[in-house]
Amino acid sequence: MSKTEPKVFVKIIPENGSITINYGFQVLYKQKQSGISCYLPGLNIYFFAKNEETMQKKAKLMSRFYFDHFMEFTEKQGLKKLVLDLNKKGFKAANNMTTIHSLINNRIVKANFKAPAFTGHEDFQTASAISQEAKFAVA
Amino acid sequence: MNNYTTAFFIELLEDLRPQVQYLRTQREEGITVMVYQGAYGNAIFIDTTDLEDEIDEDVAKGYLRELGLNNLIDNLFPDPSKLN
Repeated sequence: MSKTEPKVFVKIIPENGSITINYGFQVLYKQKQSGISCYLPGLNIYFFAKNEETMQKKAKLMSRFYFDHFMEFTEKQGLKKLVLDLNKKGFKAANNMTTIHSLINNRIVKANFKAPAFTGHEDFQTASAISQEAKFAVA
Repeated sequence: MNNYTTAFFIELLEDLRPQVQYLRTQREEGITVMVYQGAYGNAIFIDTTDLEDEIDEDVAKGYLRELGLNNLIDNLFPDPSKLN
């Protein structure tokens, strides 16, 4: 597993009446005696994995669960709540206030929210890192 | 090293209702996550795939911070240098 540059972002892309969410996440990890403690900065998700394979799988699924929380399980205005949560977590888009204003008022515009440089706790400041990307479409 | 399991941690959260609210359980590809709403209204994803496993200290502290339960960190994971 190689160490890569930080790459945490959430892109909202309107496409033919639907929305594609493309996101990049980073796993900060520390080897422990019994496994690996992990943290997804930006999304603020923690978990423990017994090996690297499980770490990758959990990182992928738990980051997806974060988006499911808004886009699948939030009954009304999931996208609006996602955008507000990203803002609360420190993610910023170009023309941030205008972009947020459009999105929370149901005007779906293309947006690329980038996480702040480091949002994690000092426990993980010296951890190793890997980056991954994923995307999904919302009806 | 602590002696807390994930099951203990979940029981602790049950005792802390309504400050911490259980939302749902999500399972996919053998991974189980319980989703809670913390004191600040944000969603916290707690990995409950192996309930009987000892919970890692860094991970448990992260959960507590996200849940807005910072006051519990020192109680559950006291700094050994400050103990008698």
